[in-house]
Order: sequence, then C-alpha cells, then structure tokens
Amino acid sequence: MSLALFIEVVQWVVFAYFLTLNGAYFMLLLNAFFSAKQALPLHTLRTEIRTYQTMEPPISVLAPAYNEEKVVVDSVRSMLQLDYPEFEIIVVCDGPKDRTLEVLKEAFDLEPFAEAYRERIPTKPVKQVYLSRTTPRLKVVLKENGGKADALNVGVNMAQYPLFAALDTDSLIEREALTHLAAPFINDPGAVVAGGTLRLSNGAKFHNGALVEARAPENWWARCQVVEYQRAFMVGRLGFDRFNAILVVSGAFGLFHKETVVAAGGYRHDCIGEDMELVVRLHKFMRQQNKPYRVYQVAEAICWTEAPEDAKSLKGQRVRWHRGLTEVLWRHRDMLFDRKMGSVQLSMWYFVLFEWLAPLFEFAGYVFLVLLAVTGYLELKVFCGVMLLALGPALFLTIGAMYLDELTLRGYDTHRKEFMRFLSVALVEPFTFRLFSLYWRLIAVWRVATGKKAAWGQLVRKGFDKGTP
Amino acid sequence: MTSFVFWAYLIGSAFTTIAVLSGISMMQYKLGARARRTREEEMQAAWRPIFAGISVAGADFERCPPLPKDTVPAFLELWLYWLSMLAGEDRERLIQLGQQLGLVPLARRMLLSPQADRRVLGASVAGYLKDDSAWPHLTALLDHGDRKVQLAAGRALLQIDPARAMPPILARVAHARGWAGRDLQALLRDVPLDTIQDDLWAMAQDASPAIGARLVHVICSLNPVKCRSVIKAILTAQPAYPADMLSAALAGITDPRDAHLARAYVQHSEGHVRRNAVGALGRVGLADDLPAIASVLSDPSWWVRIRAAQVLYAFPGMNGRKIAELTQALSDVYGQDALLHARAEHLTSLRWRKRKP
Repeated sequence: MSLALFIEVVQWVVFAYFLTLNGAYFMLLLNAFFSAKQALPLHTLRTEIRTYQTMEPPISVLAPAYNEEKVVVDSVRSMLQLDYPEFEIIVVCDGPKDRTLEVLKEAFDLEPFAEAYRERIPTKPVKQVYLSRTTPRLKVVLKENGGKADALNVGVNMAQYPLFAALDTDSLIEREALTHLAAPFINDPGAVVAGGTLRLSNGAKFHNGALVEARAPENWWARCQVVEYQRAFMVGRLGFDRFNAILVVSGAFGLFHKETVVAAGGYRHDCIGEDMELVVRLHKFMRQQNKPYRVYQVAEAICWTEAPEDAKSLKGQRVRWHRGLTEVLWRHRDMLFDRKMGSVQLSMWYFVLFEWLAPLFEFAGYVFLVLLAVTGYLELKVFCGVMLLALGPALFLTIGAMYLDELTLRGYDTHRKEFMRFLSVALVEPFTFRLFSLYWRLIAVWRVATGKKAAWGQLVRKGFDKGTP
Repeated sequence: MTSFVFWAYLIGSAFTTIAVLSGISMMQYKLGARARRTREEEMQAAWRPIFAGISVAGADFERCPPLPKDTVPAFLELWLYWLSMLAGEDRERLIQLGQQLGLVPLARRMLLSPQADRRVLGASVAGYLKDDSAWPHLTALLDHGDRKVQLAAGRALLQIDPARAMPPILARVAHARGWAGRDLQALLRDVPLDTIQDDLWAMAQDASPAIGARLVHVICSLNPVKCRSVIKAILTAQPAYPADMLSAALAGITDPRDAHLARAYVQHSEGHVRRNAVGALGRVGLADDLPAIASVLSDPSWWVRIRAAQVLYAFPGMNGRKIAELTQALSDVYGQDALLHARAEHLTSLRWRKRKP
C-alpha cells in the first residue's frame, strides 16, 4: 500500500468515526430538547401549587463525609432548608482525619444515640451514632473508614424511609430540588432512580447554605467545566432519558428506591466509579428480572458543587473518572452482548465507543496530523478543513447545551459580558481544555493497562462563597 | 484528498452555521425570558393587593383591571395559590372574580393544550369555578399518562359534583398503577360522602392484596367507624385474608375493644403482620399483653424487635426498673440492642416534648 493510499484510508476511518460520534451527539441533543420541552415551566415565578401535596413520599438524605470540615456544616444547613414535607438527614462520617465530626458536634449539639444498627448490606463497623439536640431531622454516624460506597451503604442500612437521596457534603442543593426529584416517583410507581443536575458553585454566592446569586466563575478552569457540565447533563443525561438508558446518575445528587438498591446489593466498594456502577447494575438487575422500571433525569432538580480550579486537582478527578468508567464497562461487559438489555445495550456501546475509546481515537488523530505535517502531506486547506470539522460540531453541541440550560430556566444569572465570556470559552475549549482532558484520560487508560492502583486524591476546597445576606 | 476536504468544509460549516444561529436564538430567548420575568413580577405586585382587598376586605371587584393576557399562567397560579389559602366567603369572592375575568372559557381551552402543566392549571381552575361544561374533558384526563394531570382532573371533578365524580374515579382505583394510597386519601379527604367507604371496601375485597391493603389504609384514614367494621371482617375471616390485608387491618386498630383481634396475630408467619400486631397491642393492649410483646424481642425480624421494644417503652405502667429487669432476663443480644435503641428514642422524644411550649 502506498503512503498516499494509507493516508486516504486513515483519514476516512477517522472521518467515519467522527461522523458517527457527532451523529450520536446530534440525536442525543434532539432527544434532550424533546425531554426538556416537557419540563418547561409555564412561568418564571415560584408560587407553585403543590399538585402532589400530601402525596410526597418521605426521603432519607444520605451524605457521606470524609475530611469535609470546611463545607460540611454549610452543606447540612442547606439540606435542612429543603422545602420538602418529610425527610431525615444522615451524615456518615467515614473515619475522617480532620475535624469533620467535631464541627458537626459544635454546630448541631450532637449527643450519642444507641442505634440498633441493621446491617442489610455488609459494611465496615459503625462506631457511634449521634442525634442532634437541636435538629430532630439530623443523624450523624461515625464509622470505620471504608470509602464512599461503604459510607453510603451504612446510610442505606440506617435509612428509615422508602427513598434515599445520595448527596455529597461538598454540594448544596436548591430548596425545591428534592420536590422536583421526587416527582417521577409519585408519577410512576416503576421509578427506581432519578438523577438531578449538577451546576458549578465556583463564582456563585451563597449565604447560610442558600443560593444568593448564580454567577459564572472567574477561574478559567472552572468556566470550561461549566460548559462541559452543561453538555454532560443537558445533552448526555436528558438525551438518554427518553430511552430509559441513563447509565450515570451523579453521586452528588440522585434519588433511589431503597428496597431495589438493597435487593441489587447496594454500592460496590471495590469500584472507583461506584455511582455509575450502581445505576448500571440496577438496569441489569431489573431487566434480568423482567420488571418494568425507569431511570429518570430531572433537569430542574439542581445541586451546586465545587469544581477543581487548579490543574493538579482536576487531573486527579479526571483520571479517577475515566478509570471508573473503564472499571464499570469492563465489569459489566456482558451487557454489551445481551439483547435483554434493550436500549441499555445501545447506551453501553455508546459509552464504549464514544466515551472510553474517544481519547484513543482523538490521540491517534492528532498523531496522524503531526505525521502528515512532518511528511509534507498536510496542506493548509486540509488542516483548515479538519479544524473546521473539529470546531463546528463541538460548538453546535456546546451552544445546544447552553440553550437547553436556558430553556429549563436554569441559566446562570449572567450579564452580557459574562455571557460573551461563556461563548468565547465554547470557541476555545475544543483546542485548549479538551486537550488537557484528553491527556488526563490517556493517563487513566495507561494506568489501567499497567495495573496501577487507583486513588481518590485531594481536592483543594475553597468552601462556598458567603454572599451578602 | 479533495472529496475529504469538501466534506470536511461542508459538514464543519453546516454545524458552525447552525451553532451561530442557535447562539443568536438563545440570546434572544434569554432577553425575552428576562423581560417575561419582569412582567410577571409586576403582575404579581399589582394583583396581590387586589386579591387581598377583594377576598378579605370585600372590596368591589367590578372595578378590577382586566385579565393580564401576557402573563396568564403566572396569574392563574397566583389566583389558585390565594384560593388554596382561603375558605368560606373569602374564597367565594375570589372565585366570583375569576368568573368576572372570563377564566371559564380560558380553563376549557387549557384543558385541550398538549402541555401537561397547562392541563393541570386548566383543571384546577375549572374545579374551583365548578364549570360543568368541562366535565367530558376532565373525565378524559383521568386516563392521562401524567399522574399530576390525572389528580388535578380528579380533584376538579370532585369539586364540581362529588356524587357524579365517584364512579369514574373508583373505576380507576383498582388498577395496578392506579390510585390507591396517599393520592386517593388526598382526593377524598374533603368529600362529604357516606357511601365512599362501602364502595372502597367492596373494591378492596376484589382487588389484589397490595391494592386491597392500601384501600384499607384509605378507609381507616377517612372514617374510623367504618374502619372498625372492616378491620373486624378482615381479622376474623376464614379462610384468612392475605398477609398484606391483615397487616393493613392491624395497623388500623385504635379501639381497645379490638385488642383481642391483634393478640391472635403476634405469632403470625409473616414479619410485617407480627410487627403490626405488636404495634396494635401497644396502642390498645392491656398489662396482660406485656409477656406476649416481650416474647417477640427475640423475633428473627429486626422490625418486629424494634417495634416490640418501642411499644414496651411507651406502655402505660412501664418504667426504667421494669425495662432493666426485662433486659437482664433477655439472653438475645439483638433483643437487648432493640431495647437500648428504643430507650434512646424514648429519652430523645421526652426531651423534645419538654422543649415544646
């Protein structure tokens, strides 16, 4: 085969992959618009009549905490302000090394409580349970360190209500978020999971655990992530919602049917992507049992979380995420060939081809471009064509996601200048942030391939900005 | 290379163009949404004092401004919100205002909207305005795919004509995904009918055990007198009713005259039946029932153990010394755990009771 022919073949293979990838994104975006249309509010005001009043099922809110002394009190305060008739909060301190438990004791006047712990899902030992003298809804559990999944399983064992919401203590959820998240469970007896939308709190202003102003972040890394999160939630999750094929419900904010999770075995603690692993396993469990069920994405249920603002923390996070994806896809690879999985089978293939394999294809594409340049085969018009091909769909997807974000009335409180900043990020992100993301995902693939052990790493936290009251 | 370049430019340009157009459309939408929000806030500020004046102060509503056509959904929701807070003549005045403003035909149009939220608003408005001409549309909405539309339609029908509404509502109760439980309780709570319980009891006997159990809960929440006769029928029947129904009946026992019915089920084969039997004895039992309750402290089911421990702590005449004796006599560690748990709960609830003014 001559070099020219080889180049021709490779470029068409890359082109075909690229076309398929963006075709899939386009389909997801269309689906997301249809899903969002149903969630479109009739008005912007919040004087909502509670159609479901007195019908809301009680919820156990589970919040695993490890070394969260800076944010845990604000987080619990925001949970206590939730506008929901009946719920309890269980903070599970997973053997923290800092003053997480101490700050909780000081803030909420905790005292020991002799709970008869019921271990339906095996966990590491629980050392002590605390109740608050001032806040009847709150329970705090101190356990031996076992990881986030293990902490969540303790919470599931202790939960007294039929639904549980898994939250991160470094996140703040909006007051009406639980009401929105519970709606699918009232509407559909087959609902087993409902996922909320994560937005980045970097730059937003909070006071006493309540959102005051939703502003765009100043930090460039955070601003790129805002755009990225919009794509992930508005397109990726909403797009799969109509097919009942959502594979990822963020560990920071999801509502689950407790008995179904217990029957499926709870969270796996030998997997770094425990949130995705649980949802995938729930799909498998329910489809193998031939039981009607549904996994929902609720756009208007919002949770604010802090994103890394430095490259080191971001690298740790992205390497962990991609490793988690790899582990889950490998662990459940049988679902790729099981017809019983239905739409979930397609979703699994999507994740394999367009999420897991994507960094390898992208890297190959860049190497190929460099080779073309070095061998003199790269003409300017070809280079411009490739850049346009890379930019056009990426820009369309990003703006589509931003549009969806606006439609569901959850856009940021941006002024024109900030809005233009977001748009400019959308333009440069494919050639800047995306390259870093590619590099970090390749590191994850390399580490999995070489058998290097995974670690959680430490995110540098700033806490929630105290806006003016 | 030429065809590749052609396709690259074509597809890249197409996407970029759509992206730019979408961006422009989005900015227009954002500006429009901001303007809409401002209008809605102004509408709210203008109409709140009018609603207050008409409903509470009895002001003349003939001089009210017309319906704000550009903010209709927000206006309707504000009007409904005020109605939900009022009662009696205050509410009636606000309803008359709604008729004056022409909300009847508006609600009927909204019932036909493809948007679920509009249908909910339309049904809610039609219900308050007792618009009989909306009856066929509302009945059709009882089978809508969206539960909140079904419930809004059900509520509206009951507001318009409770007796006429019951047959179509009851017809949907016994389905597997139908109404039974909190939604039905909420719907029927304000309906002043005596025959509902008989109809519900008839349905409970024909329905599946799970739905039957839920209907028993609804009956007991609506009418304690009817509840007693239903409980007796279930707990004394031969052959026995399914466990779900037994459990629901035991949960409904509140009359001391029915304590003997609960005693028979403390050793039932199903854990949830035993739990509710113990719970019933906790509510209506006598001192002679204490040994039976204490015997299930070593029950294999956690729920039964905890319930028995809770009942013991709350039982009249029980004190710390008696509980301590019981704990010492108990060899089962899980039973001891349950007693410790119940003690902690008991002390916590005592402390909370002391705090209340």
